Amino acid sequence: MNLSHLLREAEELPTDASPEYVQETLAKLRAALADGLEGHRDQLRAFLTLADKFGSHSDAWNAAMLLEASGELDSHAKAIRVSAWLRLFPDSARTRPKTVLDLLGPDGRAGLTSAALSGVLTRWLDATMASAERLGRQEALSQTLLAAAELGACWWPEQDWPSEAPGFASAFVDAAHQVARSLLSGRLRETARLSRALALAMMVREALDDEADRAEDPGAIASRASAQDAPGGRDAIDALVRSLNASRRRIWVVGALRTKWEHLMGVAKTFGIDPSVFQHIGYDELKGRSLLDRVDLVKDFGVLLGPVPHSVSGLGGHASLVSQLRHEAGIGVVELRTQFESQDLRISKSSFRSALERLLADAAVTGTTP
Amino acid sequence: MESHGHGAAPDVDLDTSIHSTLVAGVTLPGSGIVIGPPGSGKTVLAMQLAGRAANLLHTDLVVASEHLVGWLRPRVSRSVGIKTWRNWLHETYADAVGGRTPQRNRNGVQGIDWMAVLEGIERATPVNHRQILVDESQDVPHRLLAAMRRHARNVIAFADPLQRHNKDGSSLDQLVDALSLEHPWPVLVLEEDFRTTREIQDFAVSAWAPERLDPSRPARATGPLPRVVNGTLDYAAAEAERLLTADIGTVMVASAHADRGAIVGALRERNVPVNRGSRSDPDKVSVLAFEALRGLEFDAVVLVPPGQLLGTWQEMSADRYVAATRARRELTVIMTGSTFPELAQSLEVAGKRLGLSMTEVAS
Repeated sequence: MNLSHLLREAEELPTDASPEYVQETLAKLRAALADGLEGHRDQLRAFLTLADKFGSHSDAWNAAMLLEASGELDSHAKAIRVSAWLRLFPDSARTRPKTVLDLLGPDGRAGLTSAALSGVLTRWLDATMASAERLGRQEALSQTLLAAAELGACWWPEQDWPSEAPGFASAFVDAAHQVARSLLSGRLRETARLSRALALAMMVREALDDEADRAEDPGAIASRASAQDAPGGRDAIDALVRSLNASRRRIWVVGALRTKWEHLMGVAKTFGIDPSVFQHIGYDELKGRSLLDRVDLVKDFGVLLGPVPHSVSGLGGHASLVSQLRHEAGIGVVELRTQFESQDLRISKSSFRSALERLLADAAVTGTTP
Repeated sequence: MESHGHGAAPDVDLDTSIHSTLVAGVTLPGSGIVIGPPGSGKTVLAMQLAGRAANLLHTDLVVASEHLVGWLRPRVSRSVGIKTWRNWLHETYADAVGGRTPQRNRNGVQGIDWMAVLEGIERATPVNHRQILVDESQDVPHRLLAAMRRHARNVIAFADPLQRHNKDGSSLDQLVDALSLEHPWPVLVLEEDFRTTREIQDFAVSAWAPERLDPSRPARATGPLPRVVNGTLDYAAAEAERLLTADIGTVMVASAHADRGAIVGALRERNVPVNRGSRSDPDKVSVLAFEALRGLEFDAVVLVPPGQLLGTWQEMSADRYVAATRARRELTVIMTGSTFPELAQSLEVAGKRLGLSMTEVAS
């Protein structure tokens, strides 16, 4: 099987494919890439994206280093590289977070949008929260909170976090809550820096709530950072969200939930999107009836696809549900990021927020109108 | 996987590892660092890169012990200089500074003044006509690495921060600071464990390296669950004898220095052949202190943790982690007499993760 074929097959794997199968696929790709590396720069870039998708941070990091050595490290690859760095070297990330700026290049941003930078920080905080919960390492979480605040402040003034980087702002508040609980229970000791970070989180939370309230005013919608990705920036997203609220088109949220539906709808409000736009299909419901039978793939706006059962029915010969939706439907599909560290495959506020950002940005880029 | 005495390096399946990619395609940005867990083939990669580089410029491969020097010498191109870092200091001082190596007298004992040697090298005019590859660099002082960097065109350090034993050694940040002149983070990452089994890997990380609990690429090989037994030093000798006669392959008992003599004595009483010094006869049991284990591997390991905390728990857990991950196929942990809370707790955590019934009692 040649490299291109292997890559195509790997790209179609769902994010919840079995870890053994993912590892086998990545190993085949590594071997194929190693055989004639010089001729495979484009494939190396695709491999980097795949490694990131499946949480193989060391593969993503090494691939980025190889691309850099050949002078072909673009902004997208740089974003993946810093995400991998934050995960592979957590101690260093906590003590010297500004290394991220050095890795991104002279301006410390590599031309990345606020949404992309926000995504990097959100993933870092999410992973650290999951790991702190599992291993009981609240000290590591509190240090990460401080480091994320330091890095976030390099990219946006603190008061602008809710508007410029809502994903990060919300993850920062979530992490601060977890730290506050540990302080209250005596598992952590309060320091002046930590107190300041918690106060900052309160301010950010209030601002996020204000944003959510304002979102009911159509004129105030599209305050989200994804807007900056789109041609026309905020105006394009603004228009998109307005017509989405006015139309009968729906966004399907597919998969098991880690948090309450109401909380996800709170996130939706921060985007200015009315909760009535969203419809949920649970994990088990997919085993009995094909998603294609429920969703109006012509009229509906998009699918935010969480982890789905391997035994999902009615795939019609496609390798995965994603593949089926992409090939058979003219509808936006965004896979929700899973949390490999915690093995918690359910949809969280953060993964929902990131996916929604991407769905809107993609729609604005492709000119989709509700 | 072929068994080979005190192997310093696993027989890595290069076709399916990142190694071949690195060897084929990497030009590290000048100096750099390669990190990876036990059994990930750092030493193999160092050997390959040294062999490749030696055709271009003078290359030194600096390793942790004389034992490894002896093991590597017949396996690496003759043009590569293989030495311990103390020998590197000695030779570089003679080349760069000249004269007699500084000596000092402490408590009536005459010895080399290593700090004065290092300071002399730091002051000397730098040279850049050589390349240095440093194995186990987590146990090398970062100041020494910086000095190496000054006296070489480039330095490539191989390290596993979680195996750091020596408090004078280097953290990853310190390695980066010593070597990151051309790149903010010149680190490449190996991840897969080619040496041990998934069961032993799980046990070792659960007990002594929880930071590594979720590797993206767990060990591929599987084997019997590790055993944890309440026993004596004599039982450790009996277990080593059992493993040797079961023809599993090479057998090593890892213990504290203080217990080594008693274990060797117990083995001899049982007429079990024991390797002397750094010999590596596969038909004999090796009895090695924790500090001497880095870079080595055996088919079966009998691990005898000391009953009391020596040094810090962090140092001690790093040593236990290294000892457990020397095993290619079987691991037995022998708890002798009393223990201390950290050790008991670490074994309990590992036992829960693997569903081990804690603990057998030696009969």
